Amino acid sequence: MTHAIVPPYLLARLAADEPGRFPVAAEAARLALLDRPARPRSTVLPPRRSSPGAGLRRTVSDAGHGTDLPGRRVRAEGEPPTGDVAADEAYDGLGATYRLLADAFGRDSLDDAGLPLAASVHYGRDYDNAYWDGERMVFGDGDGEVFGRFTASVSVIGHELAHGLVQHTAGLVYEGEPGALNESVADVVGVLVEQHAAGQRADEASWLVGAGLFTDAVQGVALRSMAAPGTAYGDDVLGRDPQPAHMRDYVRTRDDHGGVHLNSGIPNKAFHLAATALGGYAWQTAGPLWYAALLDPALPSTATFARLAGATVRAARAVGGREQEAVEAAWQGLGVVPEEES
Amino acid sequence: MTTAEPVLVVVVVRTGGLAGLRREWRVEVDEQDAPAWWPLVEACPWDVDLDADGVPDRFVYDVRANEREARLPESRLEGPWSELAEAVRRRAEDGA
Repeated sequence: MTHAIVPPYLLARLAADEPGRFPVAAEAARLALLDRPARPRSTVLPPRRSSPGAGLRRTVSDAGHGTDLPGRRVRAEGEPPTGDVAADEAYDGLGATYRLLADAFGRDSLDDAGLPLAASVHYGRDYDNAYWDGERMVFGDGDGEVFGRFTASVSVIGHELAHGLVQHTAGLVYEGEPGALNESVADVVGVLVEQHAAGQRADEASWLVGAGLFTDAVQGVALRSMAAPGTAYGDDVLGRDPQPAHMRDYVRTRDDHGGVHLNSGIPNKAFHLAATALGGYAWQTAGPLWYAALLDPALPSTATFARLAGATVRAARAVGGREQEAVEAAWQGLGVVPEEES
Repeated sequence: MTTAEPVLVVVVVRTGGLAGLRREWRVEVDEQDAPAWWPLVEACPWDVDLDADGVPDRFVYDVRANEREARLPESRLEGPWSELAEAVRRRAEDGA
């Protein structure tokens, strides 16, 4: 597992800075950091890009409704649209996610070293899913009855890529509480990609993950609601959205890797509460705090909600009293007591 | 489905996936249809409980046939497992 090394307080402070000042400030801070006695480092700082987006390298492939990956390459970086909606949505979503990571966190792709971004579309037949296989995003077209194509929501594209971000940072184990945190981080990044692309403030955003994926036959607006976990859908066939919004309702189950897509509702709500309390653009306020927590060397891959909460509080404290208050209040309102020491 | 007393009940439960939706497909097979279903069931190596593969957003399957059961990550739902699960889903959804 790779942990990045930039101290959380610094990333938070830099990322919260005004747009345009960030690259210079970040560079100076990084240089200063090199002289700072710190935790053991397993990597060196990557060189800064000469311009935002310089490291963006996308490849979209078409699995042709089969399950062999990657499939036939249909669009590479800089090539014109293919005319295939799913392929072009994937290409655009990869770009939107790259830009969010670069603008909000100063990060050069998933590994902060310009990792090429790859996606395969038209995976399988009637495949009701999208996933991250460790190297690429894979998208099904849906069955046409419950789900349409999974590239239709940029928050879903951001979500899948964010699993790659987690893989390259905190490496949160995909089971139980750390698995739910892995899912929550993916949702957070997913909605931030959407908000960033649309230029939406926290109080303007829908906070929905996967809006528009359900067909018209389904009673529901999205897969999940970060603002109101447990309210995204209520359908005769699918049932009700089962996400909890408070620690007292944490779901204990063997299904779904220990309910990782259910219990993520709790940390999702924490992010929403912090972001809306801080106001403005979430990718400039709460987003950098959560990102800093992901990079915190003290955050174990088996982190509980309390440990991630502690890491976000630590990052917020370094930025200011208002931030600390907002983040602490967010977690405490959900029954999560931030824990900063193991 | 059938109206006679079932001699075989096969249930496929799928959890996980990006959406985190729980889907369940169930068939109740009577004596008349049993010869077509038993080979599908017998072809599977039952009583396995494989670790989830840890791949974000992939499905996890629980398959039961009468008293036999198995748990499989999506990446292991192949060969006879895939044939059985697909048959159950098709029958449950379409009555085919």
